[in-house]
Amino acid sequence: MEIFALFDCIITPACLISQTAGGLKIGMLLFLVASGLTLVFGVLGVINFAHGALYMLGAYFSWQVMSITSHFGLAVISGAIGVGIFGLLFERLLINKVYNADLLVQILLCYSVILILDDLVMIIWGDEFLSGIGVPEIFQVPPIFIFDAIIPPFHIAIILISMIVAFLLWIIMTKTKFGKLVRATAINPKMLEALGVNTNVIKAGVFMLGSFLAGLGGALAASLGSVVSGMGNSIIIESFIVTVIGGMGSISGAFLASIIIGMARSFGAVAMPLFTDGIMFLIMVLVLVIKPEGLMGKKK
Amino acid sequence: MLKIHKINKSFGGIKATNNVSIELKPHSINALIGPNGAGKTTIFNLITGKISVDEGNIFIGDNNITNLKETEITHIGIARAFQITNIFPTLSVKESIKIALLAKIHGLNNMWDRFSSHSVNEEASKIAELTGLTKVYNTISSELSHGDQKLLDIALALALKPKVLLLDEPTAGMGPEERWEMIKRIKELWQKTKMTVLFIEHDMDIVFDIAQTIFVLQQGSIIAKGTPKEIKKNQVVIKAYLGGGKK
Repeated sequence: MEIFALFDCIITPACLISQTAGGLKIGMLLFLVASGLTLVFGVLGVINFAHGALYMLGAYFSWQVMSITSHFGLAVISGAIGVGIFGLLFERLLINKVYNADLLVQILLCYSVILILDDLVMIIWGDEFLSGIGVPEIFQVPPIFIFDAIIPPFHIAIILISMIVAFLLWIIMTKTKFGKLVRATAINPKMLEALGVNTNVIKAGVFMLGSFLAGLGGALAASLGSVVSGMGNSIIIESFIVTVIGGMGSISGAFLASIIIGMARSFGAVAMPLFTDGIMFLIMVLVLVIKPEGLMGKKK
Repeated sequence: MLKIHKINKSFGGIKATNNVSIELKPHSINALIGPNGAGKTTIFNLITGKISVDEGNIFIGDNNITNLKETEITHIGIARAFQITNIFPTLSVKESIKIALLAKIHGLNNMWDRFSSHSVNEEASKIAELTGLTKVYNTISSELSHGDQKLLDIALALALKPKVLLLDEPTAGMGPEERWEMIKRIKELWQKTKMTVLFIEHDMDIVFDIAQTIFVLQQGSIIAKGTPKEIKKNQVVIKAYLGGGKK
């Protein structure tokens, strides 16, 4: 453990800023995926283990659109919307059949979908790493220097895009009629039905929104790295950790936990480079011991 | 206003309702009584579309609502308060009523609009006043007394501005004093809103006190209907329900 390296980093502005920016980038990308996961769990009560596969689909869809149009924005938006539509079909055809089923049945269904999608993308796009969609031209400029910290402008853009999405999500969930009905669906769907609201529409909408967020995360991740079958498997574990730390079903909790995990990964790479995954799990265990319902979860 | 015409419903081989016909006049308050298992709640479930009708028809005005979806029936004008209180436990009274108003105002249209909170707030506070919930307006629903939770359930139904309000044992689980308080409140509500009300109740003093028309159900069949005076004198009812020898 290189605790002195961490201390040195914290007192050195260049390292502190650089690691903080890196942590925010990781955290915000993670938030996009984890917020969808926690939203779906909070409203539908389903732990969507296939959420990582939806993230992977977002990356592939955006890669495909990028290779046809060479337009970054279109590729990212298409990836997110494409996965949103896929999610809607997934919910209508499969997931809604297991809303009240045993957890094991839900896991089996999601796991089957993961395996099918992992194989399908290999059949369609091949089993080799694809090079990703790259950074848009506008951001192919020299990095920004802040106190000698080197920060790529595209990373700042990713952080800003994710924060804007987080803000829009907050607006949707707290200020719109949809958001209020979503909250009511999460609390007492039967009552809402008695009030004349077709909760199936709300549930499908929530799953579509969650899938859209996973797809957006995948599409943006495709700009930072390569695209490969099974790429959703690691993000789903991190997303679960975020969801547990933040509180199952809490979007604001997911936001906070994503930043914590992002920072833990970024600064953990300085202090304990061989134990960064371990740090995440350690934080989760600590939260479970001290506040089992999560940082912003509600006691049941 | 509400017309039930010869409805039948069976569960397996058991007839839950047998040629039941009920007609409620506009702006009337009516009671549906009968021993446990007579089929009272089944009739409410059939009216609200919770379960399907095997035979017969149900109308609100000229609208045939037989076997429509629950949500469609609600939008046509039937609202219900439940025997076991059905509320949003983690929302405040104010938020709960606002949700019901949102459901009423546009259904599922304009979902992404920022809803104008001014008119909804105003309407919600009026409903709270009407149901006597103003004092607990900002209280979380699960922290309300049993009586206030029942009133909230009714308030949510009222927010839908129904033509017909169904109350399933509105005084269930209450002490004598609380019961009469609730009945007084229901009477006031009916007088102010003049909607058509059908309620299920076991306490005959309450039924005779507020119902204009009483329908008596036994083993899935209507055995009598009439004013409280008529029902009190009805020999079939006395024999079957009110306890034999009392006259």
